[in-house]
Amino acid sequence: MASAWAILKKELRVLFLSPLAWVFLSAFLLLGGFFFTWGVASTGEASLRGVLANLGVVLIFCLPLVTMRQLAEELRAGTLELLLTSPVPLGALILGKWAASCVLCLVLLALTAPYPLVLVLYGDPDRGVLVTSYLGLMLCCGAFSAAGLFASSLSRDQMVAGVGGVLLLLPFWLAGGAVGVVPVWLEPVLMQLSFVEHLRSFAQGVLDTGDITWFVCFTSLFLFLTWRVLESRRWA
Amino acid sequence: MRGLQRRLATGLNAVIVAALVVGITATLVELASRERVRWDLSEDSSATLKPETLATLDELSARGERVRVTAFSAQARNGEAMFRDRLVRDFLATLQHASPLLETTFVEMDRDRLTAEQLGVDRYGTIVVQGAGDRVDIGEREIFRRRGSPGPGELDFLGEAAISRGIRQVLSDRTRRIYILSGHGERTLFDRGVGELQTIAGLIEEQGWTFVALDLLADRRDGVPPAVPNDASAVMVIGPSHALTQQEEAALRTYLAGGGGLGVFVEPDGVLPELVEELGLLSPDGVVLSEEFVYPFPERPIVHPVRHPVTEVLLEDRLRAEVAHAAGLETVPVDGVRAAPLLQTGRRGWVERSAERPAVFTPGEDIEGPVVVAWAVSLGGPHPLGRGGGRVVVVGDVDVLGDEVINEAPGNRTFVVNLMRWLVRSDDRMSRVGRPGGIRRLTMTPEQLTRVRWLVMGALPLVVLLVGAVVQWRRRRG
Repeated sequence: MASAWAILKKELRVLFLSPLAWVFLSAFLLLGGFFFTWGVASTGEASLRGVLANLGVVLIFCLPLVTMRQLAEELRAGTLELLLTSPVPLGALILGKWAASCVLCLVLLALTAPYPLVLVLYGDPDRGVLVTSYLGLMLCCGAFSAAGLFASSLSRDQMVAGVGGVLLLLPFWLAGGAVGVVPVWLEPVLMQLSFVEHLRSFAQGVLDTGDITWFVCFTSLFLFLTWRVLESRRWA
Repeated sequence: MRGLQRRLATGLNAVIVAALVVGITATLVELASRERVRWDLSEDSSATLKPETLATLDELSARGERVRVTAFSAQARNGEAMFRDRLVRDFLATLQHASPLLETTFVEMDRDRLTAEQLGVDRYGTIVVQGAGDRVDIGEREIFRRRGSPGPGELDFLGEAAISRGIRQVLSDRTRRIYILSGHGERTLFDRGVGELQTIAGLIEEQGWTFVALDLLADRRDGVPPAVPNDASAVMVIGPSHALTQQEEAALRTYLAGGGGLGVFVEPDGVLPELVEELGLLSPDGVVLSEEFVYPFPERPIVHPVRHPVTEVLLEDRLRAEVAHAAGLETVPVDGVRAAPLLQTGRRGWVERSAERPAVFTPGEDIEGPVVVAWAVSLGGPHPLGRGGGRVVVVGDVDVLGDEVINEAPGNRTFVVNLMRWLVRSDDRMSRVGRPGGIRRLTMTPEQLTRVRWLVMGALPLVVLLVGAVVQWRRRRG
């Protein structure tokens, strides 16, 4: 745990001392602000439902840009071998890097606090729905970070890792949209794989153990796969 | 060679372990989705099914019938189509979670014309409920109701009641019918536009009941005295302004003697049916007032629920019911008539009998509080009409049913619906009745929106960028 904490601190230092995190935060807030005001102006609804779905899409494209360097850069620079032969357990290394992305996402979501404040100021939003929506988005961030980290573990090239992360996540986001054009037997599978379907209950103000488990399993699976890839590099 | 073997073995091992973990994860996800637990944290409990819907689903389970609900999207040119579709989709998802016997499908009308043609649906926003060899089509007007003017008004989703009723209709050929007496200047529930009693009309439908107009004199056949139809679960008399005829009174007496349920709502200047007065309930002239009133409406005295099956939920959940410009009701003892107060003012309430304003209590002239404004009456053996155990509710106010008061007072929906449940003998269904789910709107001027736009699209990203620049600058200097 201490090793994971040390990795997390080091990653956060690297993240926030590089311009990448700040540009990422600003770009995300600009896009988020655009979607928020566009949603408010076009629907007049005291809800974040529309903007959260759009933020999810933005995160799919943006978050892999943050996670792409986490392992690919170590591989390219040759520091991964040092890390793998150091006394730091592999699990701690992965958890530390993943947690760093999650902390960045937490900062990001905290910076969107003016959105619900505006809704409270000019309307009467459902506060329970706001809380569960943010929780759903946080679970999404955890899942995206894990998948991005996995993509980063597969390549030395940061760009390949970044694009790989997006390509990995996109089908999970679009899976629900394919229902109706695929054979009927495939529909429940696609619904089960779809991020959007699992976010629906959060957007309704519902905490559903089935959906929470799905996000936890998705995240754990990609962290495990990252561990396997790094483990195989250790013995390759 | 040995190195290759070692790499192959290691690779194979990795693939097998990864496959196993994927399999275990998939199993875990599947198990979790089957045994899911849901907590609805929304303020309106909009993702929680109402007790009536759950009762319908229980009936579905008991009968083992499969029911299919197919919802078609709203017309896209309608500015609210997105909201309407979303509310329907959300409800279908909630319904689907609630029962494995339900199959719900949402059909994009413009993309899937085939399904629409197969079901013979040609209207956007229609919901089709099929099961037990029967089918019920629910129109968009039954699923959504607009409160206020067109445009940015409030949109209420009534789909839960409508679909629940549809399911009950395909399962059963008999629904409870509430007859609304007409012909004496009564208020009506039948105006489905922006009417004064449309909320209560929706609540009656939400219970799976249907309401039917009853004009006892106009509906009778030649030579046959007027009678309340046999399938009546209750008869409501809402604010008559002139007296019922003797024939109508006789019809209601016969109905009560047979164990019927009669609900009477009167205004201070209204007319109480003779039948009610025979049961010992009298309405003295004057308006009920109180020193404790719902600010800023002096004619809305604070009334307190008195323990009775009808008011039990109000007391438990500390819900306030409101009356406006109400008549006081008094009782005189009558054999076989058991009258229980439902709502009454505190000791600082009185019946104001003069027209002087501002009104003050005048001893000797006004009637001292507490004043009862609603009674529940059960008929028993010794009374001539008591053999069937009929039930009567008398409320000294019609506004208690009106849209304005029912939507403002948190307890009025619960009070009125439970009152009707008591009349139709659905005592086991007494529960809190919430507001319908809907869209919450913002009240924002264009100038305010511009300010918000500058804040979230300009100031916020810029501040973050500036902080980042400062961090970089300090790092390079340090």
